[in-house]
Amino acid sequence: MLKLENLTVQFGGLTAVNDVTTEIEKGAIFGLIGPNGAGKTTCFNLITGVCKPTSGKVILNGKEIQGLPPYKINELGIARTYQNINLFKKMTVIENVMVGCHTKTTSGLTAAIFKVRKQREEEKAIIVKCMDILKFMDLAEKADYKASNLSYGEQRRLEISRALASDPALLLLDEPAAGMNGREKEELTQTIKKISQKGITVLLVEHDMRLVMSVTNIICVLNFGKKIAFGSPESIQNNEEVITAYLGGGLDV
Amino acid sequence: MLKKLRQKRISIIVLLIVAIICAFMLKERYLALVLCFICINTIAVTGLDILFGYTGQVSFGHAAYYAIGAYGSTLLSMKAGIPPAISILMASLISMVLGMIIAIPAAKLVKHFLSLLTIAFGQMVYIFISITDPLTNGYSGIMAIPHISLFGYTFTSNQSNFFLLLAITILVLIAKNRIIKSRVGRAFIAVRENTQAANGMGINVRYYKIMAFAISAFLTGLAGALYAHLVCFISPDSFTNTTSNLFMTMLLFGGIGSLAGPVIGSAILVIVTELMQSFVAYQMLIYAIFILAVLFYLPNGVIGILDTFRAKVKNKFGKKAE
Repeated sequence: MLKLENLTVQFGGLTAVNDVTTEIEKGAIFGLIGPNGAGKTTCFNLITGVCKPTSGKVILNGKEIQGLPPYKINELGIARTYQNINLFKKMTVIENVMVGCHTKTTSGLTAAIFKVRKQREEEKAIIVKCMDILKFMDLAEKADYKASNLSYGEQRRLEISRALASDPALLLLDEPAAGMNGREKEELTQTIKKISQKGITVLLVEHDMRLVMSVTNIICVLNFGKKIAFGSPESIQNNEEVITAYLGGGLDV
Repeated sequence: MLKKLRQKRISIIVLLIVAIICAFMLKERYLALVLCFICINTIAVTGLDILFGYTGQVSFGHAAYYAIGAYGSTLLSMKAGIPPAISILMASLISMVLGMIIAIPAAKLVKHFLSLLTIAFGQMVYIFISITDPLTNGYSGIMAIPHISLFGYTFTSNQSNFFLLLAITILVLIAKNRIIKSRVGRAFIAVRENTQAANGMGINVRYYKIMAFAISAFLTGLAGALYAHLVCFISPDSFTNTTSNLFMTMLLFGGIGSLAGPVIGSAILVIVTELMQSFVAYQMLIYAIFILAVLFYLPNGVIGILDTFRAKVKNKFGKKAE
């Protein structure tokens, strides 16, 4: 469903992503891993339109989307979470999720001022939808809390809820387990599996190898912007080059 | 649900207070004029609040839209002979269009760059109305502006004007409340809270910033037009930087990003300004004191104190009641 073709981006003299070609199949839980600075988040930014590739293509369902602004890419069905949490802090939990419904609703300014019937019905419908998502993500009791009053793990879950509200076909999770404790990570693994069962393709960037290995069904490894390995979790675990990238090469004497 | 009920109760209380004041002022012509000014400033500051309080776009040049509304409606009604009730709307729309034009470059700017642009725009409009003698009569201003008339009734007395302005203010506040509680309002707040995430969630940030500028300019222009037809005399003096600063002070003092903030802010500052009529030279000094008070003691304005107080009362007595 999503293809990256010879994707390259340079920031000044640094090539952050170098000629990456890969394909994410519909329904997959796709892991994107690599050591720090390998270009994983930059890949995310290229897919979601935050930065533009120097060369190469991003193709979603046969349509080239590289260079489109982020809000258009969200409309096309790609939603993401952020490595450093980017919530609307002063809004309540449910309002955050309701913002996620933005592209799936249409009421404009005049409809709001005159409270036309369509607008009222739309509001009611998205409140129901957002509560369902919050129940799914186990945040329903905190619907009226300010987002900034949630714990770290809850804020991460809220980011996922907000992304789900835009009915994405592809969900990009950027280090969702960062800062979570063991139990929360276990719950997150289950959540990602449940999201996948809903028919949403998941692209996951994560440092926690146990989580990545237990949840993904295909993995792409980046190092210094280059794709160095691609395959099932088992094959990645035994890949020489990957082990070298993570642990450093042996000394030749 | 509870929140809604509470808000309804508050608005009923506010209405009651207003009604009591109305009954009281029946004898006082001057008081009626002060109340008119409160209404007009509330509308203007509400406009600024949508831009600054909800969308996070600062503007230190809102006197420009106030001036465009006032001069626009005056000229349309006096030179083109359009009835004031219609010219006011037309002038507000002109102000809105100019707001959108300013927003096209302004939507790309943040923080001090945006402040500078809005200050520059305020100055441009001020200079324009000051030196374009044939059109605006320059520094001498325009006199004998017609009163508003609706369905054959002319609003000449301060009292009748107050009832008209009160009705318009309430309509403006209802409209604002509805906008803020809608998809558009959520988009505004999302832009303020986190532009990057808003963009990522499918919100066209530029479009909503321009829309906020347009609504804001419309409301402030409307306030300016109403002002012109209330006092029947305008001169560039009313549209200097001081006015822009006054709007900002009212908003900060009342509390940004709330429905009642602009009402409280403009009520207090209009009354203070009127009480200090004999110290006009010190006007800016007084506003400065208000701004300092906000910075040091009321970061969320008067409305912030009320909220904290309400929360404290709830904590103390809420548990017993349950």
